[in-house]
Amino acid sequence: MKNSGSQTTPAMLAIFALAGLSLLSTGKAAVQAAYPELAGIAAQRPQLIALRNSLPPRGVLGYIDDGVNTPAERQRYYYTQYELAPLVIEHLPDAPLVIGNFSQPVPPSQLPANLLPVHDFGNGIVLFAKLAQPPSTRSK
Amino acid sequence: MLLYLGIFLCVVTGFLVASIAIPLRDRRSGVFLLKAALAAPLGIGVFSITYSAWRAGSSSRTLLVIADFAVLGMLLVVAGIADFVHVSPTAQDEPRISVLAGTKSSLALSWIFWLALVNSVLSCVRGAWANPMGGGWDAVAIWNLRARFLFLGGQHWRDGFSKLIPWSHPDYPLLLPAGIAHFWTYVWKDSERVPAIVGIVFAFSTIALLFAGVHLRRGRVQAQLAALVLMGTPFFLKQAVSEYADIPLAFFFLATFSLLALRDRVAWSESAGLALAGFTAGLAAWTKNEGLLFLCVFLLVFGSVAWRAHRRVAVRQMAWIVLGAAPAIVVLACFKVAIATPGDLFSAQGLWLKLVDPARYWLIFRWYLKEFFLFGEWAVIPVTIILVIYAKVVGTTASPKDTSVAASTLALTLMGYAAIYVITPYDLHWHLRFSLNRLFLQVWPSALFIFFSVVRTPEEALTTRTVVPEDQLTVRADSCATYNSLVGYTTADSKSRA
Repeated sequence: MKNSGSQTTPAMLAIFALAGLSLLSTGKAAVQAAYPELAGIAAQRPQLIALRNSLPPRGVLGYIDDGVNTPAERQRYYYTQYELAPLVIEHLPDAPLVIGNFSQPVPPSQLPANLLPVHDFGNGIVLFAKLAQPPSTRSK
Repeated sequence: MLLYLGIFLCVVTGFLVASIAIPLRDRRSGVFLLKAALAAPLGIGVFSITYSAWRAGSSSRTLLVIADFAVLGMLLVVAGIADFVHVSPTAQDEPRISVLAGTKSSLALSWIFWLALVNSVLSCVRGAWANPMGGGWDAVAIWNLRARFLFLGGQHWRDGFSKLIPWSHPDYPLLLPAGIAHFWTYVWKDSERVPAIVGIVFAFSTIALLFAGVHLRRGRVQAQLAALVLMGTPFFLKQAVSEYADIPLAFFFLATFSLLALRDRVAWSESAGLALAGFTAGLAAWTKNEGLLFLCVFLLVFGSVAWRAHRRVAVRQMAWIVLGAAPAIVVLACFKVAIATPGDLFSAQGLWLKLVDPARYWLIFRWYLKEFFLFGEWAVIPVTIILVIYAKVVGTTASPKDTSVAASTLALTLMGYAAIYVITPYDLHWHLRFSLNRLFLQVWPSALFIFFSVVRTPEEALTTRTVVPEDQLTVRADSCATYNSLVGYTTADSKSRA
């Protein structure tokens, strides 16, 4: 009785197949290494930094947007909160200062009547002050 | 300059934590790699605990630096005492002769391994460079956002846990945010490079830990294959630069199992090894809520296995694990009680209807099955199928007892995740779609550690001894020659071995 290595060829093939496929897969990872998910949203960074510099250091601010509730819109909101931390940005137009973040220009008639534009930072970012009462009510 | 001081303190702190259990004087390359792999993540874990304690009571940067040096000094003393008290490590490597050593096959495998490593490093660096803010929304909306509140908030850092921003999950533990904020406090700037580097460090520490763990148990070639499969998982590398908490969690799962399996080979004593494993399990709980489930399941499984073996020993072993986990458990408990808002997954509304709805179970089962086959985003063939075929061809060894603890813990943790899906208040399809692949990723490095502990090594597979009758030897001669040429044996070698 002596030894035989008849099973070694399939084993060797399996070892190199596993190693080779792993290497191939790292190649796939290298090709797909770009992560463009946040790139579009981060385009608002200069405007948000300018906005942050004009706000108090802490507190709660309101927030309004196009109101269509798409993933892109939610992402803009998350990114706004990220850039403006440690301010807390509540997704409601209830605070004395409200941030508007719009994907396209909004006619003043479509904005809540009690929001007074304070400053347009460009790229869809507008700072509003909330009035105690809408202008029409105040004039009465 | 202060950033380098922070990095130095972090790595040395982690290295010393590992050295309390694993001897400083142990010069084996595998052991050193194990400690090196543990160093940075353990250091970040300690940094996060120190930072959380400091943040709760102070805003003085000087005090934080003093606290870091105090922790370092204390660890230095404890590690030094451990090194002085214990005469020698309890175990040494078993002599392992590789039939592949120095052969062309071994060289080729090494080349493939290094190529894959370079590829992985380049793809991660490229990804992090292109998008330092993180590759996914959880980085911006949860982890880095919380770090910004901790760092920029000053005395009002608790604003970051406001109920006005529930989508940011104010109940999530703070290992990652507090660790990042700790480094930011050193550089006094919320640099986006810090979370990017932390993400990459965790990923490559996981690869190194898998390599070191398998190396110490099953040899270098097996370790190379294990690390290759992990590096070859595109989803793993993608998540490495996403700055999510799933890779850090995967690291602490793997560290717990590796230390448990290797405690008799690398630690001063079983108690020290268990305490370190407990510490990493505790850090898993401090990383993510899933880690808390993991910690509970781990204690349950390990405790029941040990209890069946020997009750008195089981109590002692459990005590060491809990002692190791204590720092993370204490800080987590303080956080959950005093700061965190209630979690969003446990809603009593409609709970019973969900529990008795078979359609939910069926949907979860189908998604688990689908994810099993599609996990990892591998090129050409799903990795799970490749591994099943591989195990079939090279064969398996008897399952070591510690592997069964790890396998049971992982299986029960995945079942726990499934139970959460059953009661989730979110749309089940949506929840599965956007989280299940990351839950699988959390257990993936540990699953590979178990797989490559159980499957036969290339050396074992290539030295299969099939008993063949003498009269068939002529038929088998060709195969022997093929094998000898593959592994580089000469006739002289065969004679000398005989």
